[in-house]
Amino acid sequence: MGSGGSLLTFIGRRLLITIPLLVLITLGVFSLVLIIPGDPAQTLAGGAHASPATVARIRAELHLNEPFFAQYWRWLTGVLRGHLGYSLFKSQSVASGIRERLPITVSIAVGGMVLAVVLGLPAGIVAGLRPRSWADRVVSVGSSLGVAIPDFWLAMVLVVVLAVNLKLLSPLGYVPFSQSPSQWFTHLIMPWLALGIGGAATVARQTRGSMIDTLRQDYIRTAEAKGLSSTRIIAKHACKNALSPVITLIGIQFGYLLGGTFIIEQIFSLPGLGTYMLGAISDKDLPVIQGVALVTALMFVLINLAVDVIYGYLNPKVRLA
Amino acid sequence: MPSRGSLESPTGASAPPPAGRSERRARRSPRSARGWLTVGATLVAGAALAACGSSSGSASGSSTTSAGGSSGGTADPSGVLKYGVDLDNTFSGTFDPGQSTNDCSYTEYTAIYNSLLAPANDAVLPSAAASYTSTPTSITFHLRPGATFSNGNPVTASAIEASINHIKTSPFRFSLTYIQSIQVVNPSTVTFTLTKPVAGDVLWAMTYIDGMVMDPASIPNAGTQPVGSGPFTLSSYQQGSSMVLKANPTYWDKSAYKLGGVDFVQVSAGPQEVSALETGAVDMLAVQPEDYTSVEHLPGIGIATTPSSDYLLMQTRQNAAPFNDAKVRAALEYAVNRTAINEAVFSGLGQPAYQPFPASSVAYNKSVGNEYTYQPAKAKAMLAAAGHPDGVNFTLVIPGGSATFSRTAQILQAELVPAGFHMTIQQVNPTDLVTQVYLHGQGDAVLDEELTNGPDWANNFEGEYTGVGFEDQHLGTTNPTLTPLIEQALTSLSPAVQGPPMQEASKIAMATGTEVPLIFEPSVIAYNQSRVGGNVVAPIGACRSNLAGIYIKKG
Repeated sequence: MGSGGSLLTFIGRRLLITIPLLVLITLGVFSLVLIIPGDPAQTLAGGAHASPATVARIRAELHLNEPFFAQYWRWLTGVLRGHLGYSLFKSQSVASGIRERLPITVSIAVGGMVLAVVLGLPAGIVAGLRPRSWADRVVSVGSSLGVAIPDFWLAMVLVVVLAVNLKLLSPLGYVPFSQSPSQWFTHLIMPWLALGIGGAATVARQTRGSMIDTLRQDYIRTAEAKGLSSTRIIAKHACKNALSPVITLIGIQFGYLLGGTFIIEQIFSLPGLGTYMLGAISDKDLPVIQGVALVTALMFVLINLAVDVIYGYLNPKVRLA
Repeated sequence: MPSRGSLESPTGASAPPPAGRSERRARRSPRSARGWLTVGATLVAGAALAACGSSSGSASGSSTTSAGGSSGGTADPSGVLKYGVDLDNTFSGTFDPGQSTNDCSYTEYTAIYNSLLAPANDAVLPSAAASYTSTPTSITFHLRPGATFSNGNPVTASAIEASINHIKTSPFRFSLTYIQSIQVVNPSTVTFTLTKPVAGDVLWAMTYIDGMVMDPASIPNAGTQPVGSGPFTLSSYQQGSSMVLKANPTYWDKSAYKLGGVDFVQVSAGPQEVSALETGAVDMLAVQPEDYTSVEHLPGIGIATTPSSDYLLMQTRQNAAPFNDAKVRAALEYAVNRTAINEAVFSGLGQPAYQPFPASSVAYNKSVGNEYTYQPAKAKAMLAAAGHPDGVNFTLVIPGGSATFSRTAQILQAELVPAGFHMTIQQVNPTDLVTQVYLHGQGDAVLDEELTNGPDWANNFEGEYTGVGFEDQHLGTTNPTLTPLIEQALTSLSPAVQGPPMQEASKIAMATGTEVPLIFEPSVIAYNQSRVGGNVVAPIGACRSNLAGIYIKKG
């Protein structure tokens, strides 16, 4: 009861901190309207041939002539009701556009993360258990390469090898899971590999270092002196403690992968949030930029919240901090 | 005396579209979408070439055909063409021509809708209208008898009136503002009365999005459920991902279209275009000049090229030094090495533009010919005579993210030096070009492209030199000598009317350096020879498709 209660308090405290953070995020995202050059009203009014009267009319329709905080409040109240505005160029609401594309981006990021954990965690543990062994050297060299190789370059190599030369996989496109689970899977293998290998390398390096540090701790030596089996020491004591910082890393890594999808989506012609955002940046489609930035920031906040909660669960000292 | 439209060739082909004056600026070139991937494109092009070399070791499978090239095989009537396009960046997301904010949507629209007329390089062709008559201030269209929309409703004069009045509400359709009124004469005849003598401009616009014919009952829902009288109908659309069209069984010129359907497949601009083609993920796609060398040697890939009158040019700011001096501008015409740009940037597929109109055009001035070849010594002497013995410094603004523009600018920069011009290059985001260059006055010159205007040779000049356009107002290019010539040409599309004044205009433009035309850009399309048969013709210019006469091979 006591520990459960303190965990709930901890979660509640974290949620409270999230509120001003979200306000700051929305303010920052909306401020993009001030930072980004160009005039959406001019563009929508027909570009170079727009008459000043038309530009003024469209500016009024978009409320661009109102004071900044009035515009912000209008936007924020819309956001709270789920209205993120209307794309200037896609003839679609931003919320609808994000709803269509979010599953694709999440599919890529989650798949890449799963791959990173499945490959990186065991590799890091194995290397950490036997420092300077051949397994450790293989993991160290492999993870150094994995960290050094840019994911976009790896993506291009994968296309050339797996799609162009071996003709095993399609180099582009997305098939929804509901339409064909097998095609969904095969279309995402290369994006997952491109994103996941770098992530796996980072996870492996962190896990290895953390495991080596943990195995040098006094309580491990005490456990060995008490005659506990190696398996029990590693599984029950070493892993639990060694993996705490790895979990934090995985949270950060997931954010990194989410950002990485923006480039990977372009290379594999996947219509996710990344292509949506890049197109919007190119077009100065402000509502889309704001909407995607907000959703991405929210995802980061939620991921960090989840990581904090898990970390707090694993390490009670964190709850008191 | 009204002039009669030259509609002798009822092909029904989805001929390449034009860009009316209003369209040129509204269109967002697919090049602008290439953005940051330019570097990646180069990397992958190299990688793909390396991979290709290892698998084929030969260029024999590749063929280059000019427009009208063909390949054999038997047509599969249910065959579906997988056409690679960057749907995410070049399609508006709406099927309503009146709501379109991206003129590259013409690529897909033209498969669903007929425009009143169809475009070609040197004429307008029949489409929903079988013929027309015009005076400088009015146009009467005679509709094709028996044509229906895909839902079976007849294409009538009332439908034309409703369509034009709907599309006219778009701020992007500037040419339609010249239409003062529309009179339905009878069910198959409709007359436009114009606000000024610009029948040529409006006729050309009628080949484009401006002139698309919609079933009036469908207009409220046209954004998602379009009903046109084109060769295909919409089957499904997933934003930014795919668009599936199926053949319209009631199309009036069914024999010209042999495809069972078309799948427009999302292919982001960049190296993935090449791998998509190579792996069979798509059957056909338009190729940018910078990617030509990546596809020309691919086994089993055919290439069709078509010359166009789209051209790359340098526009100068003529209301400020140094280009407010006509002598300096004239020197600049001799200081650019057009041949070097064509070879380096366009793989020699384009044509050096020694004047704004290609040799095939009625506006081409033979007396100008190839006078403006690269003559740096002459240019330097002209600069000295103009009072600049030490040369002239200027800044050229280019739209960022385009390999074509970037490479062209670099060659210009190097080749201008011997002529005494010292050029600094500044890149801006393509969508900021209007604001930065025209409104804020950034740069002394801008690298731009003028898109195809078919037989309306006065169209581009109207926006640049008559005072009605945005460019001339901000760059100070309004030219009272050119204006009457342009206005005379705008009254009709007839070569006899457009030819003489525009030939004169061409000569004056070059002599006074009002613009610096560089290269007539080629249209290049690549296709999978094992899948695609028939008469594969590259559409002229960007943002177009030409699906007539091609088919998917059986087996």
